[in-house]
Amino acid sequence: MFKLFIVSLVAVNTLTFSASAGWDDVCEVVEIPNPTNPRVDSQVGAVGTLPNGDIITAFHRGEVMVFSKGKWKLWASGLHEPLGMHVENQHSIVVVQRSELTRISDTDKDGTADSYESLCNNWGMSGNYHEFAFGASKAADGDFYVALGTASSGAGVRKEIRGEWNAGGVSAEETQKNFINATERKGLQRMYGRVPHRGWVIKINPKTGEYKPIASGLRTPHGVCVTAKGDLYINDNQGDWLGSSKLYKIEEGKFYGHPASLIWTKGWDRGIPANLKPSDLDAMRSKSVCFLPQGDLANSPTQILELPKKGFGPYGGDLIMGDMNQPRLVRYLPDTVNGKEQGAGVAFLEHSKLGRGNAKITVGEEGTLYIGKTHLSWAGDSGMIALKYKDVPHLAIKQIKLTEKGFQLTLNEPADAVGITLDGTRYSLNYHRKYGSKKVNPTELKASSIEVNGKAVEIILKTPPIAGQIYDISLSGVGSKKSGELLGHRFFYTAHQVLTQEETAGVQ
Amino acid sequence: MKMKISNRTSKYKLWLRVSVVSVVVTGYSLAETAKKIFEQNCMACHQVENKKEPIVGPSLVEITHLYKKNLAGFVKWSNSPSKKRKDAIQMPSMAHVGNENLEAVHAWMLDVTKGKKFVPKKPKKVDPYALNQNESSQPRLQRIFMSDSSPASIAVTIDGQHSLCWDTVSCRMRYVWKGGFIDGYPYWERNGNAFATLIGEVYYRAPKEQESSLVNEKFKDTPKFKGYKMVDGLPIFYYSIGSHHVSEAIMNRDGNIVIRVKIQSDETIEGSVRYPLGDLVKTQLKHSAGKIENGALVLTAKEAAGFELTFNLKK
Repeated sequence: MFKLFIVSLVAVNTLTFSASAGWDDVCEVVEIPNPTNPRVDSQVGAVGTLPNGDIITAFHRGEVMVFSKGKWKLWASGLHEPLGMHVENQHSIVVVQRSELTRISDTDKDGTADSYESLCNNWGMSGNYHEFAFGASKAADGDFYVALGTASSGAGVRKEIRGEWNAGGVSAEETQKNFINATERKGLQRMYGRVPHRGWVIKINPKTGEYKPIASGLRTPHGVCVTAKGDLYINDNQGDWLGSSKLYKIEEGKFYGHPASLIWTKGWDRGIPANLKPSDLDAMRSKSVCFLPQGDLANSPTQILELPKKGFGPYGGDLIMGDMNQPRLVRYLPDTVNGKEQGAGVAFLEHSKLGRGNAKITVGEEGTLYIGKTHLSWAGDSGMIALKYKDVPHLAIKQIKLTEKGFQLTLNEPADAVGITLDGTRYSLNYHRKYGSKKVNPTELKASSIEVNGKAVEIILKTPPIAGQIYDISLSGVGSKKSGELLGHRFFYTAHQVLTQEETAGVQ
Repeated sequence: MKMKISNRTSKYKLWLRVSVVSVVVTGYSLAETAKKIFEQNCMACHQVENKKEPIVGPSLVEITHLYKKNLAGFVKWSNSPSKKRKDAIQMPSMAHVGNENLEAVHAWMLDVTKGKKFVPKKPKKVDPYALNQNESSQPRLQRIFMSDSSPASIAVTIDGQHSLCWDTVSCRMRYVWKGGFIDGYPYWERNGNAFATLIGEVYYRAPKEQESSLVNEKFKDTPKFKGYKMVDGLPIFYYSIGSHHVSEAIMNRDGNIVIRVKIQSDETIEGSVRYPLGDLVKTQLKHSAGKIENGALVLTAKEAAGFELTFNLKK
């Protein structure tokens, strides 16, 4: 077995691997023409794959169309901002719209939907534009998870609302005055959740139409995914109280950090949650499993999808997600430290023609992701693409594990490098009411050694990992003669937990 | 000297030049001369701020915006104008005014527009996905933010001309209008911070206070929306009030909006069922059963099992 030991400070020319594959070699982007009959605003709100392999897409203005053999056919229409779907069978889908979880069915099987059954319509709606409803991820017991976005102080609320208004010092009427171009926020925080259960993920029983609030602390939780194992992952957008976008592994009863939703905690008697001391809120919250650093990895993460085991090479079974602003997908690599999950985010299938606004993803024929784009007047795009994975051998990171002294990477194939260098920084982010966060105390990382041993890459840092830090690490020189240089060589590891006892007071 | 000149040196030279001509000729002050020239030659088409209809040419504020620092360009254009706006009429040449007088008008124009900022008129955005004539005359249902109803409302048109708003919270028709359907573009072009615009005139509104379309002593529960089925492009809405299951089919009968209400009950309905009505001043309302009493259609339990309401704008 080839074994190499390098001190990173020693200048060693990195080996050029002749057969290195780039993302453009590993995948291919195929544009899908927009529907023409009828012509629709091609911003995509939800996508799914029907049992026969056809792709079903819900658009911004509420049309649902089936893409079959290169042609679009109108299947349903009239929905209000559909933002997620679950395919039940060839003739029935469950869609989450602003106001409702709806089962849409073609009961007479004539190729067009005729039944729109309301499965749940009793969560709160203030009418604020930012109150999006995401998800419709099905749990093993048949219930559906829906994540309810908070309202934005960019606007107030409508005269008529659905559900109880939770005053907390500001009446619905006061807010109504400021509806368009709100200039005074009158005690409303940047994002607010004064109707039930904004900022929560809820679990809907489609038989009774009732829901159970599961966890709070969410802001704009776009990605909602129940994995094959039954774990619930949700991502959230950078903003107030979120230094950057994050990925959460949701547990029932927990609070994940954005305070607006706390007002709906049973028995809440502590006033406006955002007015509590950040340190108190910090003590109450459960942390993310992974930061998705703003600008570097993701600005506004979207649907989460568990890749099938087959058709995606070394990435089969991984959790991936899209992003609105960055022309890439993101892959999550979980780790467990001290019994707690945390992990790393890595850029994925960053094809040069991928573009932005990759909001909704479904798996079509083997190795093909159908991606729907949207913007809703923010950064993004519209239309659909097919992203086909090509079985081009390349070197990839399968796993990243935090060690006492650094990180251990597991590759998909043995590497045989002669020169590896590490570029990296660590930093924390603020947990505060302000929008986003600067990188706090960015510190350059130095490796004392990087050792390659078959598929394992052992990184020993000069300073052992510190809790509460995000590690942004780029490696160069990891490669093999057979498969070329490592693809996806930069990772962002969130070290809430470390294995040493020297935990410092990291903010996040 | 009344003129306020910002660019003193060049304007002073201008003043010298113009004053020689105009003062000698007319005996007026420079500003008065320029104003008179403007009134005689320009005012028919150019206003200071284009506040009055008809608007023919660009306002002085806009011209100043373009020619503030380009006196030569202003004179040149005035002497041999071309056309910048496709739909505007052609400006005639002002060569007869004379370069010195045009320069005086330029200076005067800067003075009268002082402090007024040119704000270009935004062209009205046109929906690139607007329905064509055939599409917009079809029956249609659209869920979108509607004014004067809950955030969970549904707009329905029977023919593109006669339309209603149905609220899924109170489970009832909220208002009816005629003259078109909705323009959803204000909502759709952005992220939902706008209502759809109603096209046409609302002629009927249901009373605001009531919680449900149907009132009975025993109906204590809040209505619960169950969904809808589409038949020939129009919905049959379903909801329940306790153990009473209600359907409201929206139909087109010769351009009239018909709401066919059916109640199926697990238990017997006791007493009368009321369908409270709004102001009927503009409404031609027909009902297949019951009688109108004290602002409501009053039905026996038997009648309430199936009845129709027909709405149209009173002729």
